[in-house]
Amino acid sequence: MAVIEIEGLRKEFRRLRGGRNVAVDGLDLSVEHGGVYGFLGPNGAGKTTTIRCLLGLVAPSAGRTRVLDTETPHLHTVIDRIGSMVETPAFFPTFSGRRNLRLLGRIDGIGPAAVDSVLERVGLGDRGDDSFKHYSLGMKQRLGIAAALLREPELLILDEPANGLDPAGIKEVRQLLRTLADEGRTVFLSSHLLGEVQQICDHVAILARGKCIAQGPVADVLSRGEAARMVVKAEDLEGALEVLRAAGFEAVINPDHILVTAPPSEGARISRALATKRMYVSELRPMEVSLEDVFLELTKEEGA
Amino acid sequence: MRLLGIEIRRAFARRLTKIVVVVALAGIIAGGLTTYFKSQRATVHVGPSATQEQQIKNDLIQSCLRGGPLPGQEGGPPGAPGEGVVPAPGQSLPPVGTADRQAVCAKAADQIQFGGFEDKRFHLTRIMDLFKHLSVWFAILAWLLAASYIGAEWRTGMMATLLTWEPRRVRVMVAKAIAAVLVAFVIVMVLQAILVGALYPAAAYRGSTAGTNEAFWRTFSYVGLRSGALAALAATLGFAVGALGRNTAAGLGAGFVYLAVIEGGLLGGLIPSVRPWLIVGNAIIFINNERNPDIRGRSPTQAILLLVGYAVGLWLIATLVTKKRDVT
Repeated sequence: MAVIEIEGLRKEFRRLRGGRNVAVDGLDLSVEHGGVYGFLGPNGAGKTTTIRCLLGLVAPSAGRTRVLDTETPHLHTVIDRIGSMVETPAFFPTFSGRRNLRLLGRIDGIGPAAVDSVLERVGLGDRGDDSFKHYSLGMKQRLGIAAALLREPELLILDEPANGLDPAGIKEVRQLLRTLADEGRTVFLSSHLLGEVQQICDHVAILARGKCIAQGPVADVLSRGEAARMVVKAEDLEGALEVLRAAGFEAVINPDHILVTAPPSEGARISRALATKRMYVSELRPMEVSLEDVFLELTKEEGA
Repeated sequence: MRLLGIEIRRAFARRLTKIVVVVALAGIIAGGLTTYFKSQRATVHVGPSATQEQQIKNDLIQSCLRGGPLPGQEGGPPGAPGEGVVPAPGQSLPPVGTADRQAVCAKAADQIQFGGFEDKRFHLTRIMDLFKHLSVWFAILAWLLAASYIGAEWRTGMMATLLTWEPRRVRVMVAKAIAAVLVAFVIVMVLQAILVGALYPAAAYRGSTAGTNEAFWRTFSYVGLRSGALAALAATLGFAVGALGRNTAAGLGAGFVYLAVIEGGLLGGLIPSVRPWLIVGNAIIFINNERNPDIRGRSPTQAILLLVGYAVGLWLIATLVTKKRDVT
């Protein structure tokens, strides 16, 4: 069952000096129940605008969005099953973190015990009584996550939750989100920390210039970024390059290795081609592709 | 109702609300103490010195002897000649140059009372006019509180956070407006009550409470209620303008520009025909509860209905705009 469905979403903003800025351009997206769904894209790709459309904060210019099987205009019927955080969390600056959460919680009849519990869960148990304006960016993010968790939601929509967190905080949030997903919730996560996304996401979608340019399971998206390549190391790199090209491989030389455009299954053929010319590989392995590589490759193509 | 309760708590808990109340209380206490110590049971004689009085009397007598009016009559200084000095109707003054005339002129001059006695006591009945004048300040206060209440929600981004908890914007706007209006009304009513309490000792112990009968208090309480109602209307207008501008400064600035520049200067001054439809003139009619000769045909009831119409109309526009406009 899809918890988020986006069909043909388009959002234009009017510019002050005339003209229109297309933030999201015909986006189609489907997020299935359960797991962590990464929503990636460079700055200005339309991630936050998409999230705002999902939450009813921004009205789409065209297309439709459904959350938990409900059209966004009727979001109020399911809003208590959704926890969200959009960009930098905003609360009353002169109120403490705890007081801010208690105010929000009262809307749904959530008591102080639940507030204390989520503050502990995000590591703000000791600082809950400090004024929000005295929080660091990382603490604000934690409070935003706490607010999103307050309703024990089945769907979490988080926009850059790790923004401003230190490495330890990023790791904590990563573990927290994974735990939430393992509890059976769906986490829709917008982030630019690709390494983090790769570690915790089950599915990803990559957005560029308001369009989705790739989506699916992480492994599938990783394999789409560029052709599979093999790393070859040998004593005589120049000679090995010549031999491999003569054998019909597309290869390029780097300072300490050769990159051969070929899938791992071609490893034996590469090794044999070199061996017949009395050249022996010291290292032969598939080149690891990171989400960052794929992301940069795909967004570069889209930009071109 | 939960949302309304939260908004009311939030509005009362705001730092600006507390600051405004504390400053107002300090002003009221200072005003009460000042009035107490300035109020005096003894009255004070005011007027020219004894030498000056004698000089004036001499001048008047000389004028009278030369055929001028009797001292204290037409052209004379304030005061009136004593009984029996002024000739009865049809009876003329003695002829110039006679001893009788000199006696009449001197007696009349002697009866003149210069200046008078200033009553420096604080009369409790004065609070009626005081409250009418203060209603303007209370309205400004209410406008400030309401405009900053909604403006701060937008400025801090809390509105966006709240809308992810309660996406029905009309409901949010209704709850917030009621909270803003209620808080303004309650604060103004409480401040007025405290002001009466602060001024009462000055009247009771060092002034006068004469005239404060049941009818006075009934009329006075209506003035207080009208002042509270005007504050509530100002809060509604301030809230609506703050919501439209999504900013406290916009709410205050628009209010000032409209009332001081557009209404006070351009519309009111240049186009007299629009005066019956301006806010300030109708607010004055409503607070005084009497027709204003400058605005013919406008009764207090019509004035308040017009003001309510403006407030509700502007709030409706603000709510519709908030409903349609993106939250970015």
